Amino acid sequence: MWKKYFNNFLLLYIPLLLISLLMLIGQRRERIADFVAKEALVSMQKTTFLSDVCHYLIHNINYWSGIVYPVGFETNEGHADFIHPYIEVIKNIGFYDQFRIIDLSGEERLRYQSNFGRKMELSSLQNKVDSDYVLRGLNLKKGEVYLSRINLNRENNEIERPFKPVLRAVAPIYDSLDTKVGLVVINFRVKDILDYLTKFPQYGKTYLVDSELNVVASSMGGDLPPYEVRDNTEALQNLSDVGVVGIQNRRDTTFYENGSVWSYSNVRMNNGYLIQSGLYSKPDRIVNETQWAIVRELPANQIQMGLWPLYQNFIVLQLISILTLAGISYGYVKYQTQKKDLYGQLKEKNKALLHNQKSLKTINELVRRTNRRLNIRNEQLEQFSYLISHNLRSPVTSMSLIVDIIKKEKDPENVKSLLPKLHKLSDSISCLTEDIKEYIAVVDQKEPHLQEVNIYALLQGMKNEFPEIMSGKENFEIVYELEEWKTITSSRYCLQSIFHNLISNAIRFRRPDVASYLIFRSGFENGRKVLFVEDNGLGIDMDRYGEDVFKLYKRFHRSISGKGMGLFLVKTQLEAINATISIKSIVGKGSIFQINF
Amino acid sequence: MKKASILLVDDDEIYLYLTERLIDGISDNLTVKSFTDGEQALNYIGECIKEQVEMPGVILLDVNMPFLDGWGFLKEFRKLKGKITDKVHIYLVTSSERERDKERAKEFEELTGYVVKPVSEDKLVEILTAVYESHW
Repeated sequence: MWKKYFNNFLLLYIPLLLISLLMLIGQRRERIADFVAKEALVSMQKTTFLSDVCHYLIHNINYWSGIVYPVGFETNEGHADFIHPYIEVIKNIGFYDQFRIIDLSGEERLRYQSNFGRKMELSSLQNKVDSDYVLRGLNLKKGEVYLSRINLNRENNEIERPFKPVLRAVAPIYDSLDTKVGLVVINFRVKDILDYLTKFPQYGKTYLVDSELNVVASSMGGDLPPYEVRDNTEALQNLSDVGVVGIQNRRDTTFYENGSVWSYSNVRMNNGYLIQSGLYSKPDRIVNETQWAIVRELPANQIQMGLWPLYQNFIVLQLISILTLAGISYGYVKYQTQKKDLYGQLKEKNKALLHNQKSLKTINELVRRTNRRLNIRNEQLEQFSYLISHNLRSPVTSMSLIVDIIKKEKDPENVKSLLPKLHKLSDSISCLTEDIKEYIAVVDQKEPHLQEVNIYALLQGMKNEFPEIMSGKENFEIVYELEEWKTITSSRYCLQSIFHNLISNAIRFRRPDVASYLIFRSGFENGRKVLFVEDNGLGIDMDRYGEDVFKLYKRFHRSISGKGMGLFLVKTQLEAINATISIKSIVGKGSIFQINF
Repeated sequence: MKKASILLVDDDEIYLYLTERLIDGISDNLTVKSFTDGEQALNYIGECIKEQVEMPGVILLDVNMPFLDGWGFLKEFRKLKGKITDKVHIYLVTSSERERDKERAKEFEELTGYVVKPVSEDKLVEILTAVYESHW
């Protein structure tokens, strides 16, 4: 039962599981594709943002490089009065960390420094001839802008503390004679920008990297830029660990690998919103010290979190399916078992019923037969009682009447004349007694001994009982037409007695004027054996005597003596062997007795 | 006054003898005729019709007889009834008191009565009185 139940359950559940697994895989793939697309978009937006920021800064430096400086501006004496009104403008610009004018020899001519981001103040000049950005700035042509790496500010070749990540923009400046007189260098404070770029690490990590994949800023927090603060290799650890070729190639890409979604997007200076604005005049050339890129990582745990509802739905669906299918399987198996049980019971009952029916049939048959025998017995008993009450009573009452008369009679002669009457009465009583004896002998037979009886042989053997046949003088012949059957299971004794009576009658009641015969003919009626005994004798008037043919003491031929017992005994004997007899007869033609076995 | 005629039909010859004796003893005005079976009695009735002889007023008919029994006689008598003008009183006489016979007797409207043997003198007087109203 349990095995069947389990099999049924598996049969239902496995296809469902397979389908839902396929669906889960499909949905998961779709969801990851969503993540990938979203990440690509986020990276793009961030590069656009950074590009916009850069152009904004370039826009700032352009302002300074666009000013036509007076001839001799590079000397200390000349610039103070000229520059002062401009300086008034920048004094409160919060995102300038430093504003410097450097001459062509790399000496600082003007230096404003932010007082912790609050106010720009004049500061002591330094020689920056060895600085990369100065060397690169000196090579710039008119209209060109240089953007440095993002790194920590250094003062006198020492990293300034607290750390201050800055982006330097450099542009050449010209006097009214269009002579290059120096460089304008602005250190922009970019901490806020970088923070903005990398914030919300819970929605994926953002890294800003440079050409060498140095991490400039990351969502991991800490000091900026990390590559300068910590060991370079260590800073890169989490990126190089990934070993993602896509990032190493430094081409724009977004992909799913090792459970995480990675996105790499180069920051291009030709996209962004500002560059498309008519108010903004783009520089002729931007010289980038490095090529930045945004790297996004949607880590495995966040992706798993995103996928969790899918798994959750899957698990819930499976649980519901398991419960439902378990119920269905159980119900089905139970139904099947009950059906099988019921069927078995039904079969058993049917079998028992059939058996009962069979035995009932046998009993019924037995009852029917017994009933028939009982009826016959009853009939016989009634006949017997009638015989006694009627036939015996008559002579007895007569006798008592005569005795009465004798008592009253005075004349001895009269008494004497009555004596023969008494004698006759006693004769008839003894005769009757003999008949009763004979009848009882027939009726009282024990269950007749049944055996295979060959009718032909039996009749042949009886021939010598009738001298009329043996002598051959009487013109009487027995004819056998026993084609249908010759033998029957019956009582040999009864049959012999019956045939004796029938043959005897046929001889006695033959017509003397014709050649007499008695035909024994076998046949079937409704599948049962029938024997016809046909003669061409005197016949019986059936209209008159039809009911009385087989009754006791009935005689139909006045001219031929007889007691009227023969056919009565034939009928009684046939009843003993469960057979019946009937007659068809025509006076002057003959009779046909039909015995149904 | 003509004699009352009685017909006895019975196969018991002693009964016939005794009953004849009884009737003789009752009145000289009674004539008795007897037959030992129904067939003979019936033949006699046929003769009476044919010869236009007066029918017996009373028939004492036994039930059990050879050839034609009491019932057979009654059936045949019924067939002849149309030809009989005189009133014939038939009494069925039997030695048994079998219910079946009594029931069967009711089916024959030709029957006047049912008498159980032995037929006593008193019974005979009763019958004759009923039929002839003492005119015998």
